[in-house]
Amino acid sequence: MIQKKICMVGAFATGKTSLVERFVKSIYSNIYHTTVGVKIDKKLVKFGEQELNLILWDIHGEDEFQKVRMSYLRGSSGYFLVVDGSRRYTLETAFSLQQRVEDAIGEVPFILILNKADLIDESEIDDAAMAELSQKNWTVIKGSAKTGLGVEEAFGTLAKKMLEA
Amino acid sequence: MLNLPIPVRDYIDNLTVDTLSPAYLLAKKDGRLSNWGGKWSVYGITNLQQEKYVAEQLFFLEGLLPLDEVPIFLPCIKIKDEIFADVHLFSGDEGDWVLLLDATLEEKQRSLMQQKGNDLSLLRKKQAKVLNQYFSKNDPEDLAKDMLDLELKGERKDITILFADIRGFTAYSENNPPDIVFKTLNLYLLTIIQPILEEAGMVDKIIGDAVMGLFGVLASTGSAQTHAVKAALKMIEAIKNINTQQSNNSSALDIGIGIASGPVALGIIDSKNGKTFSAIGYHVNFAVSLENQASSSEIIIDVNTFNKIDNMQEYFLPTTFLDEGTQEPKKIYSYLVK
Repeated sequence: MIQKKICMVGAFATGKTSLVERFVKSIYSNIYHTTVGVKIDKKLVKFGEQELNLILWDIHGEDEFQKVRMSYLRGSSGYFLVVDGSRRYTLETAFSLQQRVEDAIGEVPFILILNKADLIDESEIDDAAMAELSQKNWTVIKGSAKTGLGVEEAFGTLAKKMLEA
Repeated sequence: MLNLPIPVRDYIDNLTVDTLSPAYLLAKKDGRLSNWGGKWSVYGITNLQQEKYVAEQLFFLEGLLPLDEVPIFLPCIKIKDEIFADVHLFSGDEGDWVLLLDATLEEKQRSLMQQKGNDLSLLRKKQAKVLNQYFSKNDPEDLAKDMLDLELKGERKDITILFADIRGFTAYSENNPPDIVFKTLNLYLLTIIQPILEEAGMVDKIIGDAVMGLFGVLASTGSAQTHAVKAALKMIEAIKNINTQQSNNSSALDIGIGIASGPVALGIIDSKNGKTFSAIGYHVNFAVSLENQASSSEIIIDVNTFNKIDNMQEYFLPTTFLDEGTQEPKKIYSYLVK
C-alpha cells in the first residue's frame, strides 16, 4: 500500500490539530490545547481502487519564541499551511513557513487552508490579503474544523496532488 | 574523552535506562528491519518483525529512511496516547539506527508552560484587536510585548489597579455635538491608555469616559505599584499637553486617578462570544472609590501602593478616606499635580 507523509504547519492556535481530528476522527473540540512537538495520526483514503495511507504530522505551531524545526518536514510528500482567518498575522507566518519548508525539502504539493471560516464577523483576511494570495497562485481552501467546511476537500485535493506529483 | 570511573558510568547508564526508556532499531538501507532492542513496550510497540519494512511497522518513520549521512533529531514525537519520545536517527556501517528516548515528562512540563503562554498571547492579541477597533489604529500594543503571567483557570494575585476618569466629560458631552464629543473622547482615552501600555499595564476596561488598567498581570521589571504611579503621572502630563495644544482652551478636560493594590481574583471568562479577562475583588472597587474622591489632576493611592513606590513617596501627602460601612477612616495618600 502507498503511504504518504503530510505535515500541518502554521502559527500557533490556527487549528492544525482540530483539522486533523476533524478529518481523522470526525470530532471537534472548542477547547484549545497547544501542541508540543508532533502528534502523528493516519488515515486511509481511497481513490477508486487505489488506497492511500496518509501519515499526518501535526507539528506544533510557530510563535515568536519557537520556530518549527525543518527536520520534522523530512520525507513529506505534501503539506498544509494553516492560517487562522481571524488573525491576519498568521498569514504572514504561513508565507514565511512556506519559504522555509521549500528551502528545506524542495517543491512538494501544498495547500493553504484559511481555517476558522465560521468566524465570519472576525475575519481579518481582507481584499488586500486575498489579492496577495491570488498573486502567488497557490491552492487556497477556506475551511472550518468546527463545521467541517472544506476539510475533506482540502485533504482530498492534497492527496490527489501528491499522487499526481 | 571523559575518563569516568566505572561506577559513575554504570550509574549514568542505569539512570538513562530508568528515566529515558531507550528503545532502538537498526534498519537496513533498503528500509527493512534488521535488529531491535530496548524498552519498546514503553512506547506500546510489541510486534516488530524482522525483514519487514520499518515504515510499515512504525508509521512515524514514513519518509525518514534511508538516511543520508546527516543525523536527524526529532524532539517530542507522540508515539502513542500520552507517550512522547525524542527520536534520534543516525547512520552506521550496518544501516540506519533509530533511537527513542522517553520525553513524556518533558512534554507535560513544556505543554503547561506553552499552553499558558499561547492562551495569554491570544488574549493580548484580542485585547489589542478591541483597542484597534475602538481607536481605528493599527497597533497600540507595541509597547507591551511581554506575555501575561496568569493561570488559565484563574488565580488570586497581588496586582495594582488604576482607575482614571475624565473629569467634566458629561457636561462637555451635553454642550457639544456628538461627532465632536466622540472625537474628543477618543483623543483623551487614547492619551490615557498609552501610558498604561508603556508601563507594562493591561487595559482591562474602557467604560464611557473612564479607563481601568491593571499592573502586575503582564510580566515586567519593577514593581507594579511603581509602574501604576508612573503611568498616572504620564497620563496627567499627557493630558496637560493636549490641553496646551488645544486652540480653544475652554474645552480643556482633566482627569482624576485612583490607584489601589492588593489581592484580586483574576480569571478568564469563557462565553459564546469568546474569552474575556476579568479582575474582581475589594481592591478593584477601592480603586474606583479613590478615583471618585480624586479631583482634577489628582492621584490618590492606598497604603499598599504607597509602601511600594520608593522615592516617589515624597510627592504624596497623607489624607483619609471613609469607606462605606466602616467606622474607621482609612489612611490614603494624595498627589495633586500642578
